[in-house]
Amino acid sequence: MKFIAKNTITDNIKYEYILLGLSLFALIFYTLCASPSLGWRDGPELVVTAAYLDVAHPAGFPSYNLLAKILTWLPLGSIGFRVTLFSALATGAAIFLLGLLIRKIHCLDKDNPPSLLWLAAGLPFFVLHQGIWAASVEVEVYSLNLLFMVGLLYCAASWFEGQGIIWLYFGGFLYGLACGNHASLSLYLPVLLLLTFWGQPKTSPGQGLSHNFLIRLLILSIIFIVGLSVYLLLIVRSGTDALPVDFGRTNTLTTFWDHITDAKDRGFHTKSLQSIHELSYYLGVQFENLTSPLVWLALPFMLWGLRYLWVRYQILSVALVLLFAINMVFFFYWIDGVAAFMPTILVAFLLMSLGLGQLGRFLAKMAMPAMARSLVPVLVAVIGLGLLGHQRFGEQDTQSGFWSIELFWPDLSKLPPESVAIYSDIWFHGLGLQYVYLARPDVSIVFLNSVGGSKYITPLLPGKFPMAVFPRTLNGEYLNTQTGNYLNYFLNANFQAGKPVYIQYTVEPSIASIFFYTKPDLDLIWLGQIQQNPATSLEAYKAGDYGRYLEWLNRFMLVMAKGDDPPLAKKAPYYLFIVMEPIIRYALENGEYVLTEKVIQTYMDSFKDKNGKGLFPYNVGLNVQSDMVKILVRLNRLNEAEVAMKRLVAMDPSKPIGYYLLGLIQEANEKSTEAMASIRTAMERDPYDVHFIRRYAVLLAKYVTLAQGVKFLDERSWFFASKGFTGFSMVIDDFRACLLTPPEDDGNKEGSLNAITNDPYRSTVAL
Amino acid sequence: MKKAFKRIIPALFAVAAVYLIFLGTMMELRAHAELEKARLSIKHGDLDSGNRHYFQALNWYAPWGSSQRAADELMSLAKENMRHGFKQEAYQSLLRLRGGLLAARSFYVPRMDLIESANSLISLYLAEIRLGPGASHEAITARAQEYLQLYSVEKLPRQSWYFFAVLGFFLWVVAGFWVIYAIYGPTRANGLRMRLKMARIPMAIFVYGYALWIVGMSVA
Repeated sequence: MKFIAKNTITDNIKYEYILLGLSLFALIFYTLCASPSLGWRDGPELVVTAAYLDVAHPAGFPSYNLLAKILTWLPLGSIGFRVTLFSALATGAAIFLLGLLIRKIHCLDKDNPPSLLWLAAGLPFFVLHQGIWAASVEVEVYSLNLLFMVGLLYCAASWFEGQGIIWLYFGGFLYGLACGNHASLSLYLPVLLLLTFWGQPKTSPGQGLSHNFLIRLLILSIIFIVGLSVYLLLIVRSGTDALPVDFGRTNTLTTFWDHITDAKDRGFHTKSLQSIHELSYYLGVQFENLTSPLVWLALPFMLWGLRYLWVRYQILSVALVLLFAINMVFFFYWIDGVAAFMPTILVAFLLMSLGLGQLGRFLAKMAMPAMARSLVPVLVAVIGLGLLGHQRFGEQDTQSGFWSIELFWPDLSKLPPESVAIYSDIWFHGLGLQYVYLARPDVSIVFLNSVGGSKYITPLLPGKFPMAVFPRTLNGEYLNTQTGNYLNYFLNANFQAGKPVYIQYTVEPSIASIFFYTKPDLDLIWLGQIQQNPATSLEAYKAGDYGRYLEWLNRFMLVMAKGDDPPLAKKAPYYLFIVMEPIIRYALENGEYVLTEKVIQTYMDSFKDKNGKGLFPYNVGLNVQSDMVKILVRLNRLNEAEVAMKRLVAMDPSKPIGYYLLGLIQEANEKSTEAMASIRTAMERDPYDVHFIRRYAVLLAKYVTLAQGVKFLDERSWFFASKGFTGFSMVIDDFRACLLTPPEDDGNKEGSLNAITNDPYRSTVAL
Repeated sequence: MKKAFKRIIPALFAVAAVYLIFLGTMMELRAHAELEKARLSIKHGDLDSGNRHYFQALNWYAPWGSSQRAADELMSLAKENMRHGFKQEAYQSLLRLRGGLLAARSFYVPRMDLIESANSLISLYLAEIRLGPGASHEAITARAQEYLQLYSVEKLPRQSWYFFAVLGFFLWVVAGFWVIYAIYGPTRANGLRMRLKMARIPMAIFVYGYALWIVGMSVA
């Protein structure tokens, strides 16, 4: 038997050229959109682990690191960009192989193959699919996953086609390596077993060594384990010194097993299945995701393809449906992570291509000119491109240029020498800056986070200058543990040695409190001395593309609000606010009101429960509402500003300044009675605030009589004098003098508005 | 199969060549655009923006063209600021220059001349800041030396061992497929003994590759 069976189109080189052209187009398109630096989420970590062959978060991704490492030697662009290019290359290769796979499956029906053009007609849909695109333009493992999956299906189809047992063993070896890229692929073992043992080839291998079932299983297992041994990287690399990322410290069998089985999040994937309520919620969201017109357009072809496969190759069709189902169940929670659904997309696309092939066969039987028959699949491809082209990929750039690095660079670069910087959620970015850009070797970065990898990560990226030694072997919970004690000691020692300690973005306030309980007998002087980093990221945004950043943030929020994984989703409002905060400050200072209002409104709309109550932390809510008021005032939408201010006051009725600001807005909006009532309320809650007194006097003078205003000030002056507050009394007397001196320069509308937007409120509710 | 491979491999090389030409052109165009933005920002007196765009020009590093000019101009800018006493501004430019070039390292570190100059100036500045205005010249020099030593460390040590680790991995993977092919592929040899004999070479490569991989990972 021949290594590859001949059929009517196998040797037709034109098809390979079409595939190569399409792969090149995809590669160029993905490269144009590729993230230029470190990316978001796991991106910075994976760039570092690829560059240093390190141990990434569970399950470690050794195959990815070893293959992506090759690209880090390319002498073009930054290391981050090169690792992103690896994603694009993997997808480009997957597209080529997928084209071959489609042809192979079609050619199982040797007597009636469709034309070449019909085989390639569906590929543009795949190239421009949102999920495929997203995985190909960022630093992630999913595109390599796709390549492995297509390779595995190709091996399975070849075995099924009867091209020899060699393909079964090729598949076993590849499957081991593939599981080394993403351990979730091991879940598809039932699919492989189904194809291997129930999917007997239609024709006998006719060459090589034939084995019975058990021997075949034994050989396949050995080959699989050899491929899977790529995980040895975790054990070997974890034992080496000075590893930037040693997630989980996998140099013992226990930690190694915990890592590759993702003990950290083991229960997460099945959590939704344990609650009917959650299950129904996620089912609803998943169904919503299916409501795209493209899905409905492709659905008839998918069903047609499935029927074609079922009639001829039942096991293959069952295997594909099983693959689809396993992927959907395992990643049920990933309602916004399209890339996690690569297997689903792949199966859907394969079925659609088979359906299109059926359409080709159907049209071939019709009496129509040959030219017209050739044009139809080209038309389908063009329609595919057109329909998907409307997605406006440039605007959906999930990487947003250099923002992922520019958000953090200014802060790190402006730290004083020998600082200790405390990071939380964005620790991966600290890692990227310190090990890809080698930004500040004199700065030590401490990672504090109550969720995520705290238990698994050594919480210190050491610099040379810290005055206490933190053991590299130590990781674990902070509370009442040895790790916590060491951290405490480390920070105290640095403080006592005069090292500056700074909190970077997103460190939860609650984290600090953990240290109160960690080791009460230590002198926790450091807690009161930690400073917020004085540098802001704003300087990076003053160059003009700031509006684009806000728009990106807006979209990012909408995605985050849907919830990705529960721990992150819960923290999303806080995380986003911290990122958004300095940008809003800058926007307010520079008149970017309309866009900022849109962002804040999206933020408030995105994070609320069914009753409309905000899901963000209390102080964040106050700040957001306060920002909204200022923007509305600046946009001169005073009625809306008044409503927003009332909402703000309702959030914390105990704060007198809220009533005062409400009074100012009402005054600017010519609502004298309400304004006076509001400021009176403010005075009742704080009779000693001279701003309230002055404003009330001005209102009395303006809307009642000047004499009333003067009389009120006399009363207050007497009140302060009787209490012995002579200083206050003198200030009030100055007001009195001003009030009696025309023209009145303090009661104008502009003065009131400035008082609001100069923000005395925020200072009282700062985070 | 061999015929198909013979036809497809030249086409693959052609695709790779086209892609590399595209990539090189894209890098140069993007570096040039960033360089122009940087020059404009500096012209308008916006140093932060200028630094950022120079840095982004370095992100599109190529061993030729605009990214090289960006590196030279950024160093000149830093030295100019240093000359006029704007040390903090110069320091920011130097950090960007150093970070941008180091992030573009591959099997070699580009523009070591500029990186070494930047390291000296950064070290001196940090020492002055750390020790304060009252510090003696000797103390500042000593501390600067310490910083210089730290900043001079190239944090991708032993690249050759990384290369051996990756080469070893590549060898054992290819040899793994080859072994399967040799034993179960379309050969006329019958019997397991004969086929195993034919697989001796790929098996040897497999063992060698595996050993190289493990040693490379241990030492790198």
